[in-house]
Amino acid sequence: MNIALLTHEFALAGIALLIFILDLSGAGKKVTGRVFTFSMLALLVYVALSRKDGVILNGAYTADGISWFAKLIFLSGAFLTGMLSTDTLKLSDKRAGAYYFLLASSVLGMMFLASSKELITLYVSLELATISLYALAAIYREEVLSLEAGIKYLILGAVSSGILLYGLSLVYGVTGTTYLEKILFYTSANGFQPVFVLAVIMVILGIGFKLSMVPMHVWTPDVYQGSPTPVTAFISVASKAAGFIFAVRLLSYTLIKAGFVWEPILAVLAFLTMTIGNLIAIPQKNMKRLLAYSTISQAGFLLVGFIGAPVIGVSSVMFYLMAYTVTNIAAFGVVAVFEKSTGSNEIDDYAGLAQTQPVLALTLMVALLSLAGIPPLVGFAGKFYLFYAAMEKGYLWLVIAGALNSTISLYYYLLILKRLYIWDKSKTSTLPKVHVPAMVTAALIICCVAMLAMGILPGFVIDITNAAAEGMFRP
Amino acid sequence: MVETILFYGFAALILISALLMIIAPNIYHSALFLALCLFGVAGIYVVLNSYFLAGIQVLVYIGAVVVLALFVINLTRRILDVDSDQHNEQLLPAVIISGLTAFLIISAVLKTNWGTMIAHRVAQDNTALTGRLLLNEFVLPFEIVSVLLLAALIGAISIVAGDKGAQK
Repeated sequence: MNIALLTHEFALAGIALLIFILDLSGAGKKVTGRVFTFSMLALLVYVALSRKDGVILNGAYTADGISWFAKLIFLSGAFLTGMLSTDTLKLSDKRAGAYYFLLASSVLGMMFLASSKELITLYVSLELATISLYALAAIYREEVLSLEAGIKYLILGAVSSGILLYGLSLVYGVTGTTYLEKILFYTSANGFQPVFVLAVIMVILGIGFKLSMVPMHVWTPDVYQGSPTPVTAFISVASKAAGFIFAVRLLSYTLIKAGFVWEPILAVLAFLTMTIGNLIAIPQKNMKRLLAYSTISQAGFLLVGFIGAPVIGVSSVMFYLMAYTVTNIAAFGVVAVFEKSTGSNEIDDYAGLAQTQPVLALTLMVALLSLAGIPPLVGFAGKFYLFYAAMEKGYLWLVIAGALNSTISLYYYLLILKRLYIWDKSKTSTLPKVHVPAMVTAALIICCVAMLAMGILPGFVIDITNAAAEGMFRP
Repeated sequence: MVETILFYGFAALILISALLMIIAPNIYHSALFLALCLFGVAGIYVVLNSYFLAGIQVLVYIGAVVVLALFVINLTRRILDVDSDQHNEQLLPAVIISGLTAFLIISAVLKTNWGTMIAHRVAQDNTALTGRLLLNEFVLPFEIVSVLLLAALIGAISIVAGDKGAQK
């Protein structure tokens, strides 16, 4: 057994324990925050430079292009979340250690998930990733909204993982194996069994919770609003990415023979997710709730690409997940510093931000326009690629619905931008005064540069995701 | 023959106690019916020669989960009051959705040609095999679970523990 393949996970587990020890020895929240952030950066660089492919434990753990790229997404999300957290968190020193430990253990679960090709490992690592997030959502325990977020996330998450587990055990019951390779072999050799339909529906519903896909989306606005803003940013990008990696491994790859079952289901759900998310977003008054509904609609766009042609579909989803990570963290970064300075999340209070903090307002504009899919930002390239993948499969109606939904989303993003730049001077007496800490500034600069660079030159990243997707489908 | 009778006996026990758990008006009784239901599941494991699993089922689910639930009920005020109704107004949607789910599961199970897929009966002594599998093939999930327990512990403590001498 080549244990060297697990180096990245061992390193991350080491970081988590280091934070634990630092916390025990009385280091303050600034120290643990910086240690977490910079070790995430170091690990990100290390993973990016040391790609090792291989298989251990009879194929239960596989390091390939998909897992490598997914780890880059998770670690960038964790690194940027760390940068947002260090100066905006309202935690006592005593609980900051637990906060960063839970972030690290959540990333650890996601990294194991990216590499596992065996049902039990997949499920256990998904649970590690989510259980840490349940606690993180409720970590502002003095605030009723945060506790409510934690409880809702926990209960609905437990129900959805029960459904998922039922689906997975049906797959095991039919095929008699938990290894994805052997399940794929079984479905190719023995053909299709009706019970697979049931298994696929349950897996879709269980995973739909992690993706905040309609009809499993009801938790999203409450959890996003109640959680600490950096945690919201992390849930919205990394947890969603983990859900998609799970779906890629299980549906696009293992159950590809059952594609005729999950494709039409997901097509309808993608349409509903985009449309419902967008329509409910329009009347929202709270910034975090609005972004929550916007992430629901983004999940719909991702699903459009997901049902596309196998290789391009996986590749477009991976590309968009990376794009979405930098974009959404930029948007939530602005929300986090605004909340820290003014104590408010109401969109009306953002009026006049462009005068007091022109650069911050510009950052929010870039992020929102990228979410809406305006060139030359990465959101455009990403959405274009997702729609292209769906067109390859002939889902014209879905692509048209997606394009219409992009327009709807542009409407409510522009409503926010209008508040930033044009405000009624007679009504708004005090303009918001926002202090932007250095770490958040750095995070926002990184996000904006990434949005522009990947938007203008998407080819570099798409080459990587294409190679990764082809590598997964190659026998 | 004995096995078949035992199987159907335990299956009936599970179904009836689960139903009683749902409709019992007192939440304390619900928890006790849950224990009975989980005991039935342990019985099924015994019929399938999985003695280790049956033991774990009794220890963990009845010994820990249900007892914990009973503690929570006893420590929560007003929950045992006569006027605290544990049912809400969503009865009709719940019945419809459960009925549809049951229909879906039963029809899929009946239509599937299980043939060779029916679980092979495990060998008599599978406890040693389970242990060996956990430390060989499934060592990775085994290790992840230990991190998971640590994360759950730290998460629970960080939410519940006091904040003595902390700056605000």
